[in-house]
Amino acid sequence: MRNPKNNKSRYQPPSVPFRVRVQKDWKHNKQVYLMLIPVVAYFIIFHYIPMAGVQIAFKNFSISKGIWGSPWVGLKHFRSYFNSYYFGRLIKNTTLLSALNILFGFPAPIILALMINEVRNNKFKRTVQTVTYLPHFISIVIVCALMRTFLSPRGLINQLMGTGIDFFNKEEWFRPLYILSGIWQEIGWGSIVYLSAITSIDESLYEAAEVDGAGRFTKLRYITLPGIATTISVMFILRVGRMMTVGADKVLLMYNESIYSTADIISTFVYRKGLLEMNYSYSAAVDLVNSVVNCVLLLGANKLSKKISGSGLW
Amino acid sequence: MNQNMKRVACAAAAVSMVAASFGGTTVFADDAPELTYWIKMDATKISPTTDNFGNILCYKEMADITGVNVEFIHPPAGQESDAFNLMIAGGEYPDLIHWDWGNSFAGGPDKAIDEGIILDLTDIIAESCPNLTAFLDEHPDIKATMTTDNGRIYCFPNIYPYYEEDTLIVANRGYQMRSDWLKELGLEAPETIEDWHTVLTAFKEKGENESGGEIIPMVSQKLSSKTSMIRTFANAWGGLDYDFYVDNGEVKYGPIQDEFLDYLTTMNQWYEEGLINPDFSTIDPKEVNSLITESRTGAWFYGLGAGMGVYITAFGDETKIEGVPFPVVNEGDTPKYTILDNYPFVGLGTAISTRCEDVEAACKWLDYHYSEEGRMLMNWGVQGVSYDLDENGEPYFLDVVKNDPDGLSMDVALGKYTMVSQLDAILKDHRVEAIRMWTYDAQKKASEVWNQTDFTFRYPPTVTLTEDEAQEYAEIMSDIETFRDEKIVRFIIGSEDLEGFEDFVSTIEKMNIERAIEIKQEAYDRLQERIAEME
Repeated sequence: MRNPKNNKSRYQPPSVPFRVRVQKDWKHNKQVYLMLIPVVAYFIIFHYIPMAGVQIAFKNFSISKGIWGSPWVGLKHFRSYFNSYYFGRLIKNTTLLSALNILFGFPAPIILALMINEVRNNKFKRTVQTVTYLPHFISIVIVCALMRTFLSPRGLINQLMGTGIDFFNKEEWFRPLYILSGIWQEIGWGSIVYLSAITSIDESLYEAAEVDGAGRFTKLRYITLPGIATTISVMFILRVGRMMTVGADKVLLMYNESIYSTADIISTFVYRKGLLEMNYSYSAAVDLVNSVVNCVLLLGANKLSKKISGSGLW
Repeated sequence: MNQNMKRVACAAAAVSMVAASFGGTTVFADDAPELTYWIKMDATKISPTTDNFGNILCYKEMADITGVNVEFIHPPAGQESDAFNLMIAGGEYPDLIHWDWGNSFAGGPDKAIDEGIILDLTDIIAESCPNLTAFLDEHPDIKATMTTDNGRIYCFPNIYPYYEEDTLIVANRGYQMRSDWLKELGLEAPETIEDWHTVLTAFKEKGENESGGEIIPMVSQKLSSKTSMIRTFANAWGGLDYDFYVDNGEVKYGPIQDEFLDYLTTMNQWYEEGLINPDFSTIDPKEVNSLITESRTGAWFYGLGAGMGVYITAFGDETKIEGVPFPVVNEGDTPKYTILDNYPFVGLGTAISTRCEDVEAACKWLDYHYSEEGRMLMNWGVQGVSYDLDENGEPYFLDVVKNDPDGLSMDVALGKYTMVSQLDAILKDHRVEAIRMWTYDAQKKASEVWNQTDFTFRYPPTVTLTEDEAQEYAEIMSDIETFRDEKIVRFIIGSEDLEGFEDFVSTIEKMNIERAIEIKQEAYDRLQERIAEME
C-alpha cells in the first residue's frame, strides 16, 4: 500500500477543483477508502438513520402506525414535561447526584493511580491493581444485591454497628450509597487510563528533578500531575458531557417509592413513563431535552478547558 | 396449477419440519389448516412437564377432533410484556394472540382493532361460532362486559365460573394465620381491626419462634402488589381502597377520603410498634415465602392454592394454618374486599390477528373450546385417560392424575392432560378448581370463610375508556400515582408526619383528580347501561 505521507496529490494547491482532488486522492488511496467504508456504513446505519426516530418526540407515537405514520402533535410532550409536578425535583436529583458523583467519583481513580505509582514493591503494586479493578467485572445487579444484604436492617453492617438503620428506606442514605458503591466498583478500572498516562512521562524529568534534590511530593506536584493534566482534562470533559445522563439501571435496583424524593432521576422517570406506561413519545421528548442539555454542557466544558489548560477535545 | 400445488405442499412440509424441530409438537397432516398461536407459558404448572402446549394431551386431541393444527409460540418466561410489545411493533402477528386485551393494551381493545392489529369479532362470532354464541346468549351480562364502548367484541374470552350460583371458590386469596400460635396464646381468629392489633401484639410479645428466630407478627409485600397485606387492610374501612372503588354506584378515589387518614394512622402505629415487617416496600416474594415457612411470621395475605397449599405442604401439618376473615372496623360489619378478579370475564382472551388468513379454521378451533365436549376436554382431559364419570355422571380424576407415577403434584400432573392454568380461552370448571385448590381441609375451610365477603366495591376490570379518555386519564393519573405511591409509604413508615395528610389530599386535588374520577364514573355508568341493555 502506498504511504499517504508520500502522496504528492495531497499537497496540490487549492486552485484545483474539489471534485478533481477527490478523484485523484481516490485513485491513489483506493484501499484506504475501502477500509473506511464499513466504519462509515456502521455509523450511518446504526447512529444516523435511527436519529430519524427522534421525531416521535413531536408525535403521538402509536406502535402499529409506526414512526412515520403517527400523527404530529408539536411541542405537546415538551410542554407537559416542563409543567410536570416532578420536573423540578427530577432536574435537581439528577444534577445533584451527577455533580456529587463527579466531585467524589472523578478524583478517586486519579488519587489511586498516583498512589499506585509511588509503590515500589512490584508484587504489592500488582496485587493492589488486581484487587481494585476486579469489582468492575461484577454485574451491577449483584453489586446492588450485595448492598441490600449487607445493609438490610438486620444485615452485617447494622450488626457491626449495633444499629437498625433501614438504609434503603431513608432518603438521606441514597446518594452516599450510590456514590460510594460506584467508587468501590470503578476506582481500579478508572485508574488504568491515568496509570498508562503516567508511564508515558519522560523518566529523564524525574532524574533531573532528583539531581535538583526534589522529594517525592515535589516530583508528584511538578512532574506527574502536569504530565497527566491533559488526560485528566479530556476525561473531565467527557464526564461533564454525560452529566445529565445518570444510568437508570443502578438507581432502579436501589430505589423504592419511599425514597423517590432523592432517588427519582430523569432516566428512571423516563423508564417508568416510557416502558411501564408505554408513553414512548413523552419519554422520547424527555430524553431529547436531556441530550440537548448534555450537548451544551460538553461544548461548555470543552471551551472552559481550553481557556484554563489550553487543551480540549477539539 | 399442479406445479403450484406442489410448491405449496413443499412449503408446508418445510414449515412443519421447522416447527417440529423447534417445538417438537404433533405431526401435521399435509392438508389440515394450520394456525400459529402466541400464548404465555405457565411457569409453575405446565413448564415442568413440557415446553410447548402442543404436547398437552387435550390439544393433541383437539387437533384430531377439529382437524385444525395449531402451532404454539411461547414468549420467554418473565419477558412476556416485552415480547408482546416487540411483536406488536414488529407488525408480524401470529394468527391468534392470547393476551389481557382488556387491560394491558395501551389505548384499550378498541384501539387494537382500529389500528388493524386484531379483528372485530362481533359478526364473526355471531356467524361462525355457534357454541360461544349460545353461551353468550345465555349470559348477556358476560357479553356486556366483553363488549367495548363501540359495541365490539374483541376476543374469545377466558370465562371463570363466578357466574354460576354455587361457585365453590369465590375468593382465591385471603388472610392466613398460624392457628397453632393462636391456640397457644389462647386467642380467637381476629375479626375487627382492634382484634388484629391484639393478636399481632401477642405475636410480637411471643418474641421468638421454636428455633429462636425473631418473630415479625405480620409480613406484607409492597403496596403496589395485588397481594399486599397492608394495602388490603384499607378495605376494612368500609371498602376503602388504595385506588378507585365503587361505593353504591359512585366511583371514589380512596386516598383522598377522610377515612384514609384513619387507615394510615393505624398502619403507621402498627409499623412503629414493630408489628409489620420493616422492609415491606423492598421485600421480594421469595423472602416472604421463607419468612412464612421458617415460622418467623404469624400472619400474611396470599393465595389459596399457590400460597396456603404450598405452606401447609412445607409444614407437613394442616392444623398450623387457617384462613381468617377479611377485617372490619366495627364489629358486625360485612367484610369487604376490592382487589379480586372474581368476575366471569376480566379482559383476558384470544384475539384473531389481522394477519390470520384462515379465520374460519381459527373460529372452528376456538369455538370448540366452548362446546360441552371441548369444555370437558380442556378441564378434565380425555375420558378413560385422565378422568372418568361416576354413576351420577359426575366426573372425577383418575389415579394417574391424583397420584402421578413420577411423583408430580396434582397441579403439575394435570398440566400433562388439561389446560390447567388460565392461559387459553377457556370455560373454567369450578369443580376442577376446587379439587386443585382444596388439597387440605384447611383450604376448604378458608374458602368458606373468605366467601362470606362482599366483593361489590371493586371497580370492574372490564370498564373500557375511549381513546381520548384513556389518554387524558393516563396523563392525569401518571403523576398522581407516583405521588400516592411515594407519600403513602412515607406516611406508613413515618418518614412523613401524618399532619401532612391534608396537604397530600389538596395536592392530589390540584393534580385534577376530579376529572379522573369523572372519566372513571362515566365509563362505569356506560358499562352498567350496556349490562342493563343486554339483559
